[in-house]
Amino acid sequence: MDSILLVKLGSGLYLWYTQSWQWNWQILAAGCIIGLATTLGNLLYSKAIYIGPAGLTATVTHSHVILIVLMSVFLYSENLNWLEAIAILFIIFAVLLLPFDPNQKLRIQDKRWYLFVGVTFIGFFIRNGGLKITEEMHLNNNPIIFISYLFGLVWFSTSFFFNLHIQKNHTEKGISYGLVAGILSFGMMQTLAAALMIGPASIISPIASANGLIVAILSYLIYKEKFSKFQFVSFLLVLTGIALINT
Amino acid sequence: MWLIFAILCFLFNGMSAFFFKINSMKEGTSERLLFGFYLAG
Repeated sequence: MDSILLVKLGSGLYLWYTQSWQWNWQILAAGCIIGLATTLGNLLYSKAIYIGPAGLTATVTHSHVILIVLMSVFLYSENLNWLEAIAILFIIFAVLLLPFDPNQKLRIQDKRWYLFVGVTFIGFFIRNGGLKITEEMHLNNNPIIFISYLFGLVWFSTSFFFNLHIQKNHTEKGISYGLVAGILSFGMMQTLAAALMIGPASIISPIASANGLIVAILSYLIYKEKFSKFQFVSFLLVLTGIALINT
Repeated sequence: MWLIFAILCFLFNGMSAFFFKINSMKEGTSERLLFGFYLAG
């Protein structure tokens, strides 16, 4: 348990080390809003994976970048280039394709998947788009990210301890999976920051955003999770769209 | 060097997301996973 505390303490120490801790109502409000959106996003993402293909779920939820591009165009008068326009069309078309999947066996049967993925999509957009807005407002994003993580930790700690009595049949592995996922996520952020400091964002961002590919390949290799033809086309279109929009 | 960091980022990001899949195959709920995820994050 001590090592667990150290890991958590590590992200807090980072804030202390960089001396970037600040308090004001704007930072607090932004942290809570982004925290709520991220928490709901992660919660529903984890539930969507139970009822739909994991590779597709990861890829579609990460296509929220199209909303960030549109927000930049409408809110900050940035230009929409033709590659971004094509990418947006690809992603919209790919998602609209899914409900018409003729493969009865492999199509997504549970309609809640669309709701869960939709809310996750919006939640992740609020997180990343929100951080862009706070950056434009010249607010310090480090404490905002910390507060948003703290929000999620409080939320899931409460949920975890209140539901202890009905979770007796579950193993302790769930927490271990979460710890590993959290450490990998932290590693992802650090390596992304390191790569962006010395390399071109136009190549790094598409590589970093294609995580759905790993999920799809591993899900297929380990759990024999298959895509229908429609899902495969949709997956490729969204992946291409994400790569194009980040170029 | 930046390419190594970018590939590591890609692997970390994908593996992190894949642990959600592993959890869904082995555990009945995701609450414990998310508790651990935020504890480490």
